Amino acid sequence: MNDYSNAGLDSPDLALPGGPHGPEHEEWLSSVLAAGRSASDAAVRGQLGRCAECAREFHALFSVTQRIDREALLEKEILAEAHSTLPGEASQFVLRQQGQVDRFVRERLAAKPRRESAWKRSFTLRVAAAAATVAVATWIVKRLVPAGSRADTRITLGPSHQAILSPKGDVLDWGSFVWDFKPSGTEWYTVRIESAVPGDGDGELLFESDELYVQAWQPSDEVIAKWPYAIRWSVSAHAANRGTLDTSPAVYVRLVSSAR
Amino acid sequence: MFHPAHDPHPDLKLVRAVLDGSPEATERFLLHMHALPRIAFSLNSRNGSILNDFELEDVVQNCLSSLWHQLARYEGRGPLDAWVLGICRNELRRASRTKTSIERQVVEPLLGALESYPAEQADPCVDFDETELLHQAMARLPAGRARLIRMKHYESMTLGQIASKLGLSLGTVKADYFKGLKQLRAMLAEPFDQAGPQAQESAS
Repeated sequence: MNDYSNAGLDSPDLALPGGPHGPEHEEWLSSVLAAGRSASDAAVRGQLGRCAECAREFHALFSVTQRIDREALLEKEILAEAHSTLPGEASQFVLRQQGQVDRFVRERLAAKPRRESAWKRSFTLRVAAAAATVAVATWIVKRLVPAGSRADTRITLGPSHQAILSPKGDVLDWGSFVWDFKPSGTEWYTVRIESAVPGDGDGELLFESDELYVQAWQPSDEVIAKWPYAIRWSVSAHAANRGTLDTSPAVYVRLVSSAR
Repeated sequence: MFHPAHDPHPDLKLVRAVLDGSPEATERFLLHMHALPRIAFSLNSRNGSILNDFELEDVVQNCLSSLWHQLARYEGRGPLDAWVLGICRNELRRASRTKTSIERQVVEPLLGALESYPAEQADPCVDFDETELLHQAMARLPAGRARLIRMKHYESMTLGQIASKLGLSLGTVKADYFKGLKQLRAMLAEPFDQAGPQAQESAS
């Protein structure tokens, strides 16, 4: 692809400077190569005929650019195929292997001690310092204030526990959707299903359930039939007078084949 | 010597988040990793389908192990998928070479006399050695210069667009691109390292 305007070439017919090969010739070469011009370009061919060193350099460097272009094209083709689906047995092979990939990565991550970022480390230190200050201040207040005048300062933690029980990760069938998640005041739930297929409507809403009054849901075959092989699902808790109380984190689920 | 500022690919943030243990990043990372078996399949097909499913499965496992060990060294010279492709290509090349070598040295002499011995496999469409040589050379370039060449040839950006993205003058980018091409030419003329890069990030 020619790139005259952006490569510093005022014109495709930029003339090769005269005299023996030197810095000006190198500048000319860099402009011509940056513009993606080839020796089939009559103007370039004509200029190359006047300097043997320029011709040798041009052909050597141009072949490098062609080699990179071939590699770039191959990479684009393979990566485009990488997120497409294959028919028949090849597809089964890919699905099985993707299941292995998931297990491998999740196991390694679960076994790996988490590395804290510098920001997190700094934040943790600040929180620890603040907590120590509060503890010392509390101790001093307790020492100074008579016991009978103390108010009850116990704090009850809120209903922050959220857990999706199943399905999660790789599954042979979708099964029942079950969660252990009940913020205070919950009256009903809704389940939201999104596509998780890369490049194929990833994030697209596939289904949203009606009001559910227990912590489980069994989708119908008709609903399931419309889903791709990978989804993300989440559950929201609602109350009539307070709207949506909370929503669980979305969980990735993928249907894998049981073959082999 | 001047090198343009290294502008890492956004996937580097994702990899760092995975290494920091972010569950959300892990899910997104897995979507990238799902490309691995498909990449192995495509590369093997283009290489004349030398490996069968079982051998290809071993390649995927070796790739995973290799990827995991090298993950912290991913520099964002290119997209994560391209980095996965580079590692997969190395593993597939190694496995194909081992199998071909065994067939030539052991199986063919034994079966050579049999008329029923199948004809040679289809010619590979990908010259792995040539590809690997280029990627080894790209990996030896300074990160900024490799990124610049990648942006021009793999991401089809003009030098003007690259200069604007990197906040550099067009002249500076043009001069560095020219130096990068010259470096590549010199490295491509060197004898090929048959062992291939073990731990360095491929130029992809």
